[in-house]
Amino acid sequence: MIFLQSSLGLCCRLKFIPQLLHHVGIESFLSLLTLRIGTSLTDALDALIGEQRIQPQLAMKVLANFDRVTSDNLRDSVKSKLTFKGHLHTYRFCDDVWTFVIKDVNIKFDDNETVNVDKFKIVACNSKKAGEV
Amino acid sequence: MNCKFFGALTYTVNLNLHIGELTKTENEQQLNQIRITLLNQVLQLINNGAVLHSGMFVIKKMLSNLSLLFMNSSRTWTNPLLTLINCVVFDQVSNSTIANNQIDKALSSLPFSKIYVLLIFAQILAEELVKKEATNVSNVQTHHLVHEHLFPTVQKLMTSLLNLSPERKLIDTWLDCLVSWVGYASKAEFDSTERYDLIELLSMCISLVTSTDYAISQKAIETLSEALETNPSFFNSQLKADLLSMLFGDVGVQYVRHFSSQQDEKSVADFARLIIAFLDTDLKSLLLKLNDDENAYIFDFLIVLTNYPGTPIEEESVSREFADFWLRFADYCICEDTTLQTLLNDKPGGHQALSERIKALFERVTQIYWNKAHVPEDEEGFSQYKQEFALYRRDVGDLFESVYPLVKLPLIINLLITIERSIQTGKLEDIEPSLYLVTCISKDFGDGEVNHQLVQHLSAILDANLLPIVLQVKTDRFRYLVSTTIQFFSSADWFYKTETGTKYLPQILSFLFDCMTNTNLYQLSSSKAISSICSQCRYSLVEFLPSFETIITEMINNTTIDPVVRQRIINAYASILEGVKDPVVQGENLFKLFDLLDKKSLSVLEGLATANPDERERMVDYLTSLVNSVSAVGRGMQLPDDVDGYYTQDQESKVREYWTTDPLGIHAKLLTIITNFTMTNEVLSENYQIIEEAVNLFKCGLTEPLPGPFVFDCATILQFIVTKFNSLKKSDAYPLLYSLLNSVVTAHYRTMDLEALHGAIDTIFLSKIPVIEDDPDLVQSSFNLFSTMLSTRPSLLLSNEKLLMTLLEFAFRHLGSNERFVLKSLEKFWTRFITLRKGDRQDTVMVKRLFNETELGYVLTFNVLKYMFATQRSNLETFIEIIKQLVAKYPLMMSKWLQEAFPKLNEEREKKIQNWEIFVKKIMLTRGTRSANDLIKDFWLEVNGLINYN
Repeated sequence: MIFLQSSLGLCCRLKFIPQLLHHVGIESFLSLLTLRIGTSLTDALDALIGEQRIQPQLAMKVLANFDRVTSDNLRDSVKSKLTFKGHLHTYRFCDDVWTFVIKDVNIKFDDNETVNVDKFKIVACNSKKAGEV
Repeated sequence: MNCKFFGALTYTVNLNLHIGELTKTENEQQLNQIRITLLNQVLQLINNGAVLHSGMFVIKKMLSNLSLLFMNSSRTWTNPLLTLINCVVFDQVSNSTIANNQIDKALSSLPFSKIYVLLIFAQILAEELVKKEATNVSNVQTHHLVHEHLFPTVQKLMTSLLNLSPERKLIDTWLDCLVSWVGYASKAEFDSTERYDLIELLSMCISLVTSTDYAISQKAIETLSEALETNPSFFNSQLKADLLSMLFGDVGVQYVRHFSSQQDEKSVADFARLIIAFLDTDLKSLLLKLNDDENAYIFDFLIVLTNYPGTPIEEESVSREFADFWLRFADYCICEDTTLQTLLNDKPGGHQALSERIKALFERVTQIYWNKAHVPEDEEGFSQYKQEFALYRRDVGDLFESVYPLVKLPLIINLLITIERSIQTGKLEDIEPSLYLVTCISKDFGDGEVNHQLVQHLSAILDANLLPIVLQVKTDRFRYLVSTTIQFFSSADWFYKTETGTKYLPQILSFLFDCMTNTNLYQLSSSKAISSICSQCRYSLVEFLPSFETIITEMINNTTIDPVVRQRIINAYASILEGVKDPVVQGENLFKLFDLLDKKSLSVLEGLATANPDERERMVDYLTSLVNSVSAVGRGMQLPDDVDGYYTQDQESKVREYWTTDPLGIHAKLLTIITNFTMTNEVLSENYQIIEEAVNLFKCGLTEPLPGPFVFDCATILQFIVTKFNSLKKSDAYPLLYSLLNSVVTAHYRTMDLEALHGAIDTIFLSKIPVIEDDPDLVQSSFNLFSTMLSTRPSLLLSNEKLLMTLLEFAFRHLGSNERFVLKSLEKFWTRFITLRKGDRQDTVMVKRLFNETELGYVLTFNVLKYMFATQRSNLETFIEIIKQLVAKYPLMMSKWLQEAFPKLNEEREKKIQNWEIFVKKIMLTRGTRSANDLIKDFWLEVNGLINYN
């Protein structure tokens, strides 16, 4: 999913191509990816459970569906790419999750628009489960 | 039929509702009865010709009910497929069973329509099993039972069926069923220790590719692609060898020929997908094949497919499929180079030979994609797929970029030579794709990658009059050539950094200015390129400063120029000005610029009050753009981050002296401009954008290590904040002033005058609390400001008792906020207040006394708990962090505060909090470490009657 082409010292060029999970059962992955929208849905479901309008089991099903559909759509419908250049400050691979912190980043979008940011954090995990070929 | 479907659906609803109860041991009899009833009804439906013909959806729903029943009782009902086969063969629900090895015989006696139902059931079972896994993470026993009992029957059913030479519809379903079982088997292998052998079924699928019926071949190809993409480990070496000989042998060639002659590009693209899925499983083996001439036919075939005739996107998508594949292969060749070296160690020159072959292969690939990257000439048709083509070209560009480390210099040199020849021969349509691809390869070139040859070739192109030619053909047909040329020169800083490249800067800038001024079409892109070049090559452009003056005057005087363009060009001018290390020259030029800006803005400001609404709107836009330009100059004039060694000692002292004395009164000039824009004119004084730019202007100088035109002293900025705050009638722009004060504190906290700072805070915070309370943005801004004080120099805040007490009360109240951003800023404030990392001894003693000797700790604990139990799950983190810090910093007191807070909280709550005593003990044991997170979250879930969704 992530290609790292290291050039000089800490200067790295990163290309990020999101390929999302094919399989179901990927809650932990998507809770990272869809943080904002996923947490808002969770809050809404909590409120419905609190008002005794739905059962917790239904909330679980809604979230499972949400994860699956979000994953499918991101995989099938998103074609955008962006490239960025900066100084790789920190990287780690823990519990099958990659984290990169990049400083002084220049981000280029498909339409040649560019954005400069001081700090850029990438949290990514494998599009396949551990042990899967 | 609909009625029947609703009947089936009612079974589904009731099964889902009562399945938990029914699967209990004491209800086994009842469950068995339901199973028999369902099977009987399925039999009735199958025996009804009308349902079989047009009501398959009803049968499918009933089969889905059966699989639901199976998944919840798989221990007692291990093989539902065999049960259904029995029922269909004997036409009744009976206890007699036929063995798997009798399925052959049984199937031969059944009509295809009934076999079709059995196959559908096998497929539904696999799909339902996969769905079940989605919510129920691991069910090892079910996987075991399925593997031991159900799968052998499925396999037998499928192999027997294919031996009966069934019709096309049945084969289609057979292939769908195979895909479903591949999906399930893959999951089962991951979730359990079960291992599936699908070789026989996949081998049958491969043989279906050779079918004389091309529709079956197509479907088999799709199935194999899906199986390979799902789990290639199901294919053993024999299957892979079979696939290789089939795909690259006569079968593959015939297949491609057949569909090419039918102009069925989609089928060829599907075939390409299968080849790619197959090759992706073992790129190493493909790479090693390159070393052997005997395998040349494989690469020739891949090249032929990549070069599928037609315009990409519009007429063919095969090359798009391959673009991604070749990119992955190129990356693989680069990443595995060391491994290859080791592997080929025993053959002298082996690695070198392979590298040459890789290079030759990618030269062929890039040649194809160079052709494909030409923008189609059919304007009208092209507009239909323009965006998709742009994405295609982007992928081709990425491919060239990835291939460059393999083919190296010849790749880019060839492109540059092509441009040179095209200029000579007048074949202009070849220039654009070549230049586009050169841009893709070179846009990220570092200093070490620029070669003398490269610079020579680019110079040769410029000497061959590329830029005048591009300007001449600025017609619709060649508009992509113009924008690609601008794009290229915008990113060619590697060229300008060389001595040869610098000589071409006037020519290039002149071209860009021509593009910018002659037509609106390229204004934005060319102004961006100018700004970027001036920023990168500021020192080489100093001598061109006088030529810029005319342009700058035009930019300021011409009110019709796009504001973004004006801002970029002024920024470009400021960048060059910054490159002049003589402060006197800088000062003179800046004075002229600001004087012009001041005079022009004054004349417009005067007419503002009397202008009609439309005119006024245009004038405000223009004025906003002017003030933007002033702050653009500020940004352009900023010194580089690493200022050490930028000036000699002599230069530095000159700069200090000049800007401290400021002989031309540039600081005063800037303050006049700011006052004119933000204070004196009623129309503009409340304008958010104008105030924002004034704030940005002050911020430009805050981080500067030396005195400069935009560096103002603290007192001046504080005075601006206070005066502006008092003059504002609306609160919209308050956060801007808070943010400016925040930046001032960050930059000058060591030397700040406490009295002046507290005076400013008095104005912007203490006297405005009622207004601030109503606006979450202001609440957030104020907490950010106070957090900055606490994290830089706490005494800035702690030394003012009145402010501190008011602020603490304010901070308690807002723990009940519903806004996430307010809570986040509160978290920052409270955690910094509790930990007080930057506090000196006096600060620390003061805060400790507040916690130990007053009610502060208890009140904070009580409020944090109170609002935490009422907050949403997504805001929980804020409260967890505060509790953790309290536990870590005041362990003894915190235990007491918690013991007091919970009973008090229960007095207020209708639903009492149970088991809090255990929670208190546990939380104290964590000592505020990360383990407290889960503990607090679990307790929050328990108190609110919610569950953990993870």
